[in-house]
Amino acid sequence: MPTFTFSRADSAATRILLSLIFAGTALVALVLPALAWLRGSALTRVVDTGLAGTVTVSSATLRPGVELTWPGTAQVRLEDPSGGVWAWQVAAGAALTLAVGIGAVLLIGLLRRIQQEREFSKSTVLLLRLLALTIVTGVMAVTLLDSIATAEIIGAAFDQDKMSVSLTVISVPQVVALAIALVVAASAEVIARGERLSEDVEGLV
Amino acid sequence: MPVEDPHRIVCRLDEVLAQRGVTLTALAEQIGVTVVNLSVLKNQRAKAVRFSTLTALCSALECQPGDLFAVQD
Repeated sequence: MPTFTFSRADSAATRILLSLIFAGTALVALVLPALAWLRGSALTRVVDTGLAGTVTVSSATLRPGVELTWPGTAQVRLEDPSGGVWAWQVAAGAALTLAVGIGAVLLIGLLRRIQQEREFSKSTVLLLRLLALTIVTGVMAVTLLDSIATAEIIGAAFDQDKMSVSLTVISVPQVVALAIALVVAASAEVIARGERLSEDVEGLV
Repeated sequence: MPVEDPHRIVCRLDEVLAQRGVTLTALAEQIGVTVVNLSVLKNQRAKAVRFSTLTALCSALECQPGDLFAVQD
């Protein structure tokens, strides 16, 4: 059975990949929206408007017995959004960038310890616990800020009297992320146990 | 003496090797233990010894465990 090793080349490639992910996230989620705000550009974003309806299509296009329904997701373009609307957009992007950045730094530290064969150490346990905490707080913060940003856009785009605005608290992606955080936290406890066992066998001949 | 206290075991492997005229490398090859681990034992840095290792050492050096280890006062 082949054995898998995590060599220095693997470590370097993973660091480059994580750095690119962080750079890409920062560019798309934070830098570009911030620049658009500074330039006074229009704000364009796909949001769930909360509206829904049946789409009318000519009979020549649709087969009998088929109905198209619009789920309410639309690309909204605000020509002159207020500073408050932009601020929430940038805040959500900043939170995501910060979470991804912290997560990338923690992962790189973790992978470096694995590559150096120092997996069972107190520092590894700490890194895993911090990573789990980052995932949980990052998911909650980004979800909340993004929901507020979406609500701001809908509030700016639609007549408030005729629309109801809702905030997303939890959805499937957030549940998956929280499950991943739980796995990471459990792994930290496993490594902590391994660290104590490793101390017991150190110096054993 | 509680188990948590530091141990006072001294290893006399170097003396026994000198008496038998055996090098550490030769002993390591004979009993299948790495030179690094035997060095740990010889230099008083070992914290525990497997019975299998102790058996192999005593067989190779034709001695008893008491010849290799003693409690320091």
